[in-house]
Amino acid sequence: MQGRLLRVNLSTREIGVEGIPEQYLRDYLGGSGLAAKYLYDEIPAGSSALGEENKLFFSIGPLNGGYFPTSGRYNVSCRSPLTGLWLDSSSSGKFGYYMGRAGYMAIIIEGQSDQPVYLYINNDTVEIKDAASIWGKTISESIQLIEKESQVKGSAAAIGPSGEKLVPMACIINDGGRAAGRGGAGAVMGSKKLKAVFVSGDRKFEAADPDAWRKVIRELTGKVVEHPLTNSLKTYGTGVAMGLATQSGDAPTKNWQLGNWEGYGKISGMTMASTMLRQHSPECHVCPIQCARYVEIEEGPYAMKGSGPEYETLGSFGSMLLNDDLESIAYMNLLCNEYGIDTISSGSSIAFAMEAYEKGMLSQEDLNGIDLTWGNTEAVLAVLRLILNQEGIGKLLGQGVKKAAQVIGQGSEEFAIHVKGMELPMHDPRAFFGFGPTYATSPRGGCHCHGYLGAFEGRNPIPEAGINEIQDRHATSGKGILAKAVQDVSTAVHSAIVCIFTFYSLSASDLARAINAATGFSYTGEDILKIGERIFNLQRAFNSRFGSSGADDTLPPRVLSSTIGGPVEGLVPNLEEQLQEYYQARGWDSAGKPSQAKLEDLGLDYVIGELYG
Amino acid sequence: MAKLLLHIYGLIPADFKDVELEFEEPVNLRHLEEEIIKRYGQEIEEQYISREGLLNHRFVISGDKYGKKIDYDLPDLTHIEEIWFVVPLAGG
Ligand code: SF4
Repeated sequence: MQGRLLRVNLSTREIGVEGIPEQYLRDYLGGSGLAAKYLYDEIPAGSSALGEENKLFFSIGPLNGGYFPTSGRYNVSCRSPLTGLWLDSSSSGKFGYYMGRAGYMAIIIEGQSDQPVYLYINNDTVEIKDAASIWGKTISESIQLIEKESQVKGSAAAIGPSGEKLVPMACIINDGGRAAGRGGAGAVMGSKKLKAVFVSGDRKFEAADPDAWRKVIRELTGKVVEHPLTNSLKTYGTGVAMGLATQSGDAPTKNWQLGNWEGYGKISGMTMASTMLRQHSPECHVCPIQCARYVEIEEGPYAMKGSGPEYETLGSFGSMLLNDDLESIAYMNLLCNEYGIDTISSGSSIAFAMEAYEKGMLSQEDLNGIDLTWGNTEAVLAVLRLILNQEGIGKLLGQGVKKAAQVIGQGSEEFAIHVKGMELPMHDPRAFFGFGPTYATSPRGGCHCHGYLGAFEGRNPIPEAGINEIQDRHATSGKGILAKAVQDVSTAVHSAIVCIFTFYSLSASDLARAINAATGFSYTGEDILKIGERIFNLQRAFNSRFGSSGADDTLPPRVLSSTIGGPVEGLVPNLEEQLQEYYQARGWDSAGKPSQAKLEDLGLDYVIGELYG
Repeated sequence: MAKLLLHIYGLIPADFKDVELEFEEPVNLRHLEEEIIKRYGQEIEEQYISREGLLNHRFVISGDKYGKKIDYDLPDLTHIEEIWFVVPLAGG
């Protein structure tokens, strides 16, 4: 299975299968790494994110299909319509598992169809099918219809009306609400008129060393299961972090202004567990953590049942807007999942609009008559509907805060909270200083997944990177080095590809053992970090092709000034100092450009010509 | 005697405790932590306990209900309505 790539051209309707060179798998593993290699080689400079030349790359990793905890994930990559830069976005559920069963480590989709289609894949049967009858439908309806028509067990990843309308924050949803959420891969799918990809098959995973594989699975699953945080995530979901926000200062509040708010407890994972939670969602394949929620609200204006809001959504539709109505957040989460739109970006855009309205930069007339005041839940829902239906101000807000601020002007750039055009996630660099350089340098813009600090800063050392001490969350020195190491680990994890939540308990060396048993390679933990570093630098080179440089490695000014009140008031990361330490650790020059020596050391000689040409 | 409401979140896996305990006045942070360890030390994850047998503040935050930090040098905590002990989590 490992070496097969399915190539589908929607313009010419050509379909072919290629072998993936073994060296690619050794150097880039799979997932995000393999995507970086192919898309760097195949997406030319000057191509438009929503044009024919952009490509969509679905990929899984070497651990897929063999009961490694959380290994049912998949990655999707392309040039992002939100940032214009590199995009990878991963999702859990069962889609990745079925992609492996179908026998493909990667599916590359190129060209554009002139009619709505979906891709049907069942082992070697690959068909481009008509999707006219499901175009315009919500995601759950679409997936139900496709699964019914397919008549085999499998999984579909689909876009909703937001992707069809090319909203740059549109996402791809699979398995009852699991999302490849950030950066607009859904819009790229929409631009190709591709409604969904359905995967199914019966190929079986075979480890290179079955005995070692069984041992590794047993040991590492045990490690994940026994970790204390696994229990907390299982019981309260990711929303547990919202319950701790009063003390940690981690949850952005009132569009990143306040340091504290009495509403955190009302929208926490603990409150969810005691009210609307029905069960841990079983959608994620072989996951012992089970943080995903299935919730139900039986009556009232927000009656719903389905996937429950994650911490990020509790932040973006809760604390960011001073909305303490948990039922409304669950309902809006469901709407976003049905229309296929990223909750972080859409909630953040509404927070931006609230502040613009408060400051008189947007009038009630601009907002289609909506009185968009802080904490006004009904107004939030009304504006969200405008974004989802692409009506009125919703058209502009759906473009993201960077674009919205450019259009509104009047100094609104000051409170448009994004990095490189991507709205920041719900973790505050003033609470965990390591997020400063991590956000500033992430290849896909403001993102906490390319450097999953949550599992490391103040928690776990990284001995494979020579970091043996646990880092104080409010120290400045060392955070550039930490950010680099965490980004390298996270990038390898997204290439392997497993859920980053396992890295509260696992290490790079654990990952190396698993990959070795699965593939027959002989990596160490240090090798895994180097692979992550290689991929990270390649993604940086991809961004350089589209005009990005070290000058874009910044944070919004608001995040570099104090919160008003709260536990971290007065504490602000020194980004300039952190970045210089970071660039040095990376072997980049002081302007953030990878040195030729570093690129050669990483085996990336082939990018030097373009970067230095 | 003074009654203090304590919230112990994140130190014990998936068990968040809200407990009201009585203390002789004055009571400082050290007294509170000794009592917490006495009652729940078996359940608290090892790394959250310091070598001195108190809570390990490399991981554990202690604060009032507004998130204001509480330190060992505060002589008396009886005027504080609620005291939180939390292991912060930047997850999700
Ligand atoms: S940890 Fe949560 S998101 Fe990750 S695979 Fe498991 S249930 Fe899914």
